[in-house]
Amino acid sequence: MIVDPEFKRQIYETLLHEKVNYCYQCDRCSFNCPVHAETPAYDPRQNILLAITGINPVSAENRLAIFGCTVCDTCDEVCPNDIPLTHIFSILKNMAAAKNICPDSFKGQGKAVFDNGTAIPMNPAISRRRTAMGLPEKYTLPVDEVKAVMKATGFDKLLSQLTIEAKKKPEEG
Amino acid sequence: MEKTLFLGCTIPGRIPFVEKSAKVVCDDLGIKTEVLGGFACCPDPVGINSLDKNTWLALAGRNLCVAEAAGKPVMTLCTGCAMTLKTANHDLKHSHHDKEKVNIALKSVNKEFKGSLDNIKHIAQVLFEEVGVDKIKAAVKKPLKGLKVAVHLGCHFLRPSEVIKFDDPFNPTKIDEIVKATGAEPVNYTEKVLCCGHGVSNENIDIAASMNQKKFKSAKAAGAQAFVVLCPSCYLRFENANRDVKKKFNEDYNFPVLYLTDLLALAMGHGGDEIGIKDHRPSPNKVFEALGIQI
Repeated sequence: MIVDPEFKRQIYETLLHEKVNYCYQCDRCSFNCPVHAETPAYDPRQNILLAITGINPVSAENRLAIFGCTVCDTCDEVCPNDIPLTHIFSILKNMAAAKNICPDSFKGQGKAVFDNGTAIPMNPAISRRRTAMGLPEKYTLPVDEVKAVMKATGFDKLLSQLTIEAKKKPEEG
Repeated sequence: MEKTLFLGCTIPGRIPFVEKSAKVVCDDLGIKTEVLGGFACCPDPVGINSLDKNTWLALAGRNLCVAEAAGKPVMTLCTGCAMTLKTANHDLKHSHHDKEKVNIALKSVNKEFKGSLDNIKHIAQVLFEEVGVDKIKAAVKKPLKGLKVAVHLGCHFLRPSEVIKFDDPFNPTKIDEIVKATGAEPVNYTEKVLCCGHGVSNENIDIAASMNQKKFKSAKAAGAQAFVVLCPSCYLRFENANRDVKKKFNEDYNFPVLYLTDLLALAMGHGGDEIGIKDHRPSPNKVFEALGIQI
């Protein structure tokens, strides 16, 4: 493991750095984490320690170390120093995703929202079920607006990288 | 009572029967709802947020602008939508830096987050705080006597408590009161606040199955016959968990999963056919039949 100054800069700049520094490794986060209870491979306390020291825990080989987070917000709630752990883990996940390291379901969801304005586009079977229950067949979605906002935040670029690398995989294998 | 209804993606697109039960419950209790054409994916606090937090905040900000323009309180059926909209609203109001960044992105669609909205609630919170347990009790025509349910609130219904501001984040009791009004009994089980595992299931289904087994085991020990949930992700996770837990642990739970509004609609005298009970997997019919409750 090596210290990554760029990673350290991002963590400290994005967050109120003094809050991260308050971590005295009491382990309440990991002790209460429902995923850590199942596997030592996901350890929120360890992730915070690494983030403070500037060691980037993101790697393709150990995706679980980051994406093991189930986003339950328990750690935030029990932290005695009010450290925004879930926020820090989001930064770690975003950094991983930028390197095409993340679950495929997230990539699919990102693409679905960009293309359709919804994570779950309507399919004919559900439409029929809706009509039979007296619900509107479907709702109009502001697809163009969603696309424009996602382009403004650079999501289209991220998405194109995810798609290309995801397609490459089988050829490489 | 008038509300802007934020439906999100999963309920209308995958489990529309929940939209139906929510509709009949709102009609019966005098909650007028309107779905706005401008709403899109909230987006959810797990997926899009993991890919790019700034995009998550900007898209949530866009939905908030649509709601601000309508000017009415917002009600969601999904816990994830409620948490995203509440959190984004909170963050954008409290961080000038975030607000500035989001408003630059929103310029592309001629929108601007103003921060004029302060009433965003999940339907369960509306039922408890604004309709009230007494009024719900008065609307019950067919008490679900004998039915024992495990109430699962879902993480984002409770936390971050500083933003959600509703129930105790580790010892929630308010939804139990609504369940009691239907005549059903909410059991006390040790793993009540354990996460459904939806988030981690994207990365590792095996870990989610272990969490689900813990939850199911504790609910069964407390005598629960079904789960009652408030979130479509929890709903789908638990339906699938019956299969995943059986595969990993060879334990058969076969827990039917009901949305809070399903339970209320049935107790308020609506038929199972009307609210799509036949689309639940596994079917809750056996549980009701055993209790002699006609649905």
